[in-house]
Amino acid sequence: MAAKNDLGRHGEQLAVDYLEAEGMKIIERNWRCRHGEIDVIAEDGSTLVVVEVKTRSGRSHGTALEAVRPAKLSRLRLLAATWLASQPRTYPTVRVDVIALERFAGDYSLRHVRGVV
Amino acid sequence: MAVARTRSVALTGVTGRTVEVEADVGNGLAGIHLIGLPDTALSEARERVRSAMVNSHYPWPDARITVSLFPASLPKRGSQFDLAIAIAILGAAGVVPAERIAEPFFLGELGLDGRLRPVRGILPSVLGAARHDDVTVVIPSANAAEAALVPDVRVVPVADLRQLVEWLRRGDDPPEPLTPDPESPVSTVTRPAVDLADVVGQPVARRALEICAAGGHNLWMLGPPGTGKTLLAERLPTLLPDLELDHALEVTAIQSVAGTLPPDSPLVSRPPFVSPHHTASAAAIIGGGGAVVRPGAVSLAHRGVLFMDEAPEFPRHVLDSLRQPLESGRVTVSRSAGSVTFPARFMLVLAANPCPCAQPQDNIDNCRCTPVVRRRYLGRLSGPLIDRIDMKVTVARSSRRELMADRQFVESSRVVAERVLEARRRAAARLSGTPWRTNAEIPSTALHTDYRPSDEAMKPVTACLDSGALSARGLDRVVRVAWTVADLAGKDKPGHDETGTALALWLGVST
Repeated sequence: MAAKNDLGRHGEQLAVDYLEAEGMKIIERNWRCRHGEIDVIAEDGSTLVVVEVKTRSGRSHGTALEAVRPAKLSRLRLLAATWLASQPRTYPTVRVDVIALERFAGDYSLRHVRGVV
Repeated sequence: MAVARTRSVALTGVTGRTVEVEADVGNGLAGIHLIGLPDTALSEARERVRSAMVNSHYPWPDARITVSLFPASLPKRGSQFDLAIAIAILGAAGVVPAERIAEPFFLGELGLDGRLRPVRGILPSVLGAARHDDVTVVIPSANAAEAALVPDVRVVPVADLRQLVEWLRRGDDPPEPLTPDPESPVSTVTRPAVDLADVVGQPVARRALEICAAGGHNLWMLGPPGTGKTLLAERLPTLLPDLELDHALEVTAIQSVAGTLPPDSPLVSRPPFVSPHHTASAAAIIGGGGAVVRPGAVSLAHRGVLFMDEAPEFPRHVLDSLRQPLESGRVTVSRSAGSVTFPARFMLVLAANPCPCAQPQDNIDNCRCTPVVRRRYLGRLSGPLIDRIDMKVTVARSSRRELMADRQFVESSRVVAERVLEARRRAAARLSGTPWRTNAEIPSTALHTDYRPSDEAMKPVTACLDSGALSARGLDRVVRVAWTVADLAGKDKPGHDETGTALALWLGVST
């Protein structure tokens, strides 16, 4: 259990580093409500970006990218709306991104898919 | 990003239409989307194609895959697109060269291990593909014999996905090339072990059967049970000649769609004989079904015989539904999924008892049916239907003396079949240059212009027309039968005798 959580946390840190390197401003991490959790909330210019980070230790159970199913995406949409409702400010556009990390030989490959919803 | 395109065939009824299959492997969340009106079996292709590719050790693209089937408005059903979808994805992913897969047609269902499974309707599908020039069709090896019947098509039978991909990558000759050999198609149906000589004591009915076989006419036999109506009808196929290649392909295509084709010997070269039970529904006779419209008995009997034993026991609407195919030689079935037209040019043979109790008629004490009951019974055969029957024969019980006397006159099916074949040759020679081959197919207009018997010969017929005993359609049918009688007699044109015979056969049964 712990190993799995560590992997996920490590992946999220890598994703946040990557997003900051891409010039995005991180607003919140691991925001939770009763519907679920948003891994990373960031600002890309004036756009609000809701990021789902998926980390896999290998491909034996399928790729990390395909593990994000339509049900997950619709939940992210709902969470984005819930989060926005709790905020004083508004954004002209809201985007949902997926960052997929896979461990290969001790290193990680990272794929960033923008605007999946 | 990468797009690859290939081709397959969708079946509507027994007509194959080209379907383009496009695959796009591009940016986005990993997953596969199938668009272009797929049904459930086709939507499940996603799972089959994925497993087949992974288990054949080809990489499944970790990207957004969109598979589109054109034309988008044409409903597509079944599993025969699996192979085309897999090949299009492999082409888009760069596993096989995209230019190698654009031209050929791919047909077949994939097993989860990458094996190719046979599919229904290969013959009409390949015929549909053959409308294009210089085509290559890739099919499951289990369907190879059936596909090889189509001339001028390069058929590539493959056993599994790996074999196919290796071939496409190498770009050399296909694995074990198969040359179609239309000269020696294998016959499916062996001649049945029945013979016309079995039916003793019904010389008139046997003669009517011979005319029926020679001209492709319809026949109604009326008579008490045990007189040999069913025996006679079952022997009609033994009098018919083998199907010509194009007709054999039509019949085989229908059987292929219906899924009734024996796998080992694919070409149906004998005319079919279909005898539906009288509880059959209209959908069973005409064709029908929910999502997939299947051919009914009239189409399964295409170029053959549709025998309806105990015809008055059929529901009236079922009998009347035969009117359209009898007239036009095809039947159009409309369902929510769309309209499908099947070929249905068959010889209709009806058999009926004169009344429900079916006791001997000659001895009035035996039959207990009142005139009203008898009228009502035969009244189920509606006037418009009877009007489309060329020949009507009353089959009576024969005495022992008649049976003994007739024994020396019975002929075997082989002898009669030779006369039938000769008559059919005469008709075909006369009709060469037209789309028709038997006298029954000649349309009314041609009958009155090119094939009109002399006025002298028409005298008995016109007299009946004047008196109202004969309808205009009835007149046409009498003339057609007269032509057949002349063909059997070896005459160039029907004379007074032939029209007289045809008229007698038309009026035959008095109800």
